[in-house]
Amino acid sequence: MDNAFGAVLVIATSIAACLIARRFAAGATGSLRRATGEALECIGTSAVFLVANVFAAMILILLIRRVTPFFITVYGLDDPLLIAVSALQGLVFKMWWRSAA
Amino acid sequence: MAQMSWNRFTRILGIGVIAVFAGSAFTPVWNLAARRLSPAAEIASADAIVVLAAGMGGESTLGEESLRRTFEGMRLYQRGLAPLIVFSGSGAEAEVRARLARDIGIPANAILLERNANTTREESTRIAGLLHPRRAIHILLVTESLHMLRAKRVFEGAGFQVSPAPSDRYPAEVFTPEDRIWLMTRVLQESAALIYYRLSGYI
Repeated sequence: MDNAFGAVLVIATSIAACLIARRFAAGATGSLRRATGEALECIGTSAVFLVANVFAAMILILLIRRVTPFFITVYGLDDPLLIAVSALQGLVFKMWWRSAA
Repeated sequence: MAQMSWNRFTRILGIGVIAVFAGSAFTPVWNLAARRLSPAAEIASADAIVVLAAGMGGESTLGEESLRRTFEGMRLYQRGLAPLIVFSGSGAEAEVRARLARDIGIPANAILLERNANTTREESTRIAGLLHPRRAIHILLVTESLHMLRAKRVFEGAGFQVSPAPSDRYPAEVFTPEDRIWLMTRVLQESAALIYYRLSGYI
């Protein structure tokens, strides 16, 4: 997808979602600034999980290589699934953390 | 209190992640970092061409990177730069590469195979075992440009004189945001591998 087209698309659907929410759910929406802040916290928490997952996997792989005859490649760690799972972990952890407040 | 500190920390980290992502996708910062990992090509006559493993794409199909390296190795051989070509690759990789080479006319007695190495270090020691008895010291080393610095050092450590023959020009040719994000992950992988090899005393 062309980058400019992608950016325009995302901006357009964001504005549309904002207008629809204000039109049909007036009063049910909170502060956009606060929502952005919490989204950033979700991203930050997901980044913590991603780094933890990668480090734990690297240590485990090197340990398996040293103490067993099995070989596992570290190149498998660039699997996009790991990013998706880390994002999910971050999101759930953030929601759980917030619900305790 | 702990919750507020954690929230502030993750919020700042979140801003950092977006900044790094945008900087990585839309600026050439990782192209510059990649250049540091990629020694310049030195294509010259040598005793042997060594094509490092890159993995299979299926049971009997070479992966994209493996195919790229194989073609570069065969191209160098066809230019008459060395009398021997070594294909590395565990499993079926080395065999599939050799079949491809024979199919395009490279004589079977010019092809050597290394089938059992799993890491770059193992490739260097096993290929030294194959080539040193044949008095082949100067090699044209074919691998991905981002892997070249580590591979060159580890093969030099195994007693070879190494002329890099990268199979790509990623640092100069990666421009799209998604490719730059891929480049970032490869540079980080290779940097971590370099640190690990240094700490382990392999290079």
